[in-house]
Amino acid sequence: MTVITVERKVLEQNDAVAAELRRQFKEKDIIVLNVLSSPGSGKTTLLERTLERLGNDIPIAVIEGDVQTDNDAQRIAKFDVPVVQIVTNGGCHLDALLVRDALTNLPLDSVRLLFIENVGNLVCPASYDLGEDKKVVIFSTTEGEDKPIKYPKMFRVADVCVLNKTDLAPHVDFDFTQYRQNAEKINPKLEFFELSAKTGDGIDQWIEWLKYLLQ
Amino acid sequence: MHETALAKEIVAIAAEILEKQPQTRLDAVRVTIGEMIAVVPDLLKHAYDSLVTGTPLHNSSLEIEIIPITAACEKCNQSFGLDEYNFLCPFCQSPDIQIKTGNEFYIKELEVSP
Repeated sequence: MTVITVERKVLEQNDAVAAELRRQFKEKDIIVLNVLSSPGSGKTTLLERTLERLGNDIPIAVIEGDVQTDNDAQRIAKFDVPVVQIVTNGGCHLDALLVRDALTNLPLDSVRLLFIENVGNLVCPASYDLGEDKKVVIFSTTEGEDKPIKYPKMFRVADVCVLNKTDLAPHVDFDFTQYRQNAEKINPKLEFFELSAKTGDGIDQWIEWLKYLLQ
Repeated sequence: MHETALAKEIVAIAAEILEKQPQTRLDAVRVTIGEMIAVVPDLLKHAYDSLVTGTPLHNSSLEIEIIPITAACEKCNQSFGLDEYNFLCPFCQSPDIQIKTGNEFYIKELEVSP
């Protein structure tokens, strides 16, 4: 019996590609947001509202990740911005290699802000660096205020937390104070937004923050 | 359920190392995983077992060492273990803590025989 010392990171390949992407984004002066949530929290709807507000002024591109269908890419394409759909065929997250492939179909030299909408899932995507500047986790009032403590890894690695569907909060007895306490317990450095992508309530702050990032 | 994807990475690295040692048989892969990685050990082992079936790595097993989350407080300098993902210093309640262990995720070693 012989022991071979290895000491290699399991995700070394992903991390190496992510580092290369990050270098490329920086060189081209592109801000990249990795958008994460459960299925149905409103990632695509928030992107639609964002494109309505900023699409004419800022060159935005979108990468959509889904297990199946290009439904989301079709929704985004209506805004006349470059969009690529990644279909993972069962894969529960995007990795840096998939993003690198998708980038070959985007006009990167004329992009200033890139949204990567990850596969709807609060577990696996937390482990995969995509070369992004920030991880934005979205969750909605209908999912309950204990989501941050049920999926602590995701909320711990996120930089920004967007609470969506605030218009539905009264119907589901959503406790805003408890939600903030839960999220801050997991990650005191989170930046918070509370909005309704449907009614537009609270969107202004989100848009201002994006503009600030691009300065 | 990222265990299958993670097991694939482990198998790929083990296979790459084994290729350079043609006369050896792989008995075990030892991985070190921090609790922050949120891996379910049994699922990872099942995924590993099904991935190596019918390959030169068959009959090898995946052995997992879990590293608990520990942290140190930036404010009061105390060190402590973190239970239930409560990221506050248990001594002074400060949120300003530095994670010391629990983010590990690497292949430590392979056990092989001729």
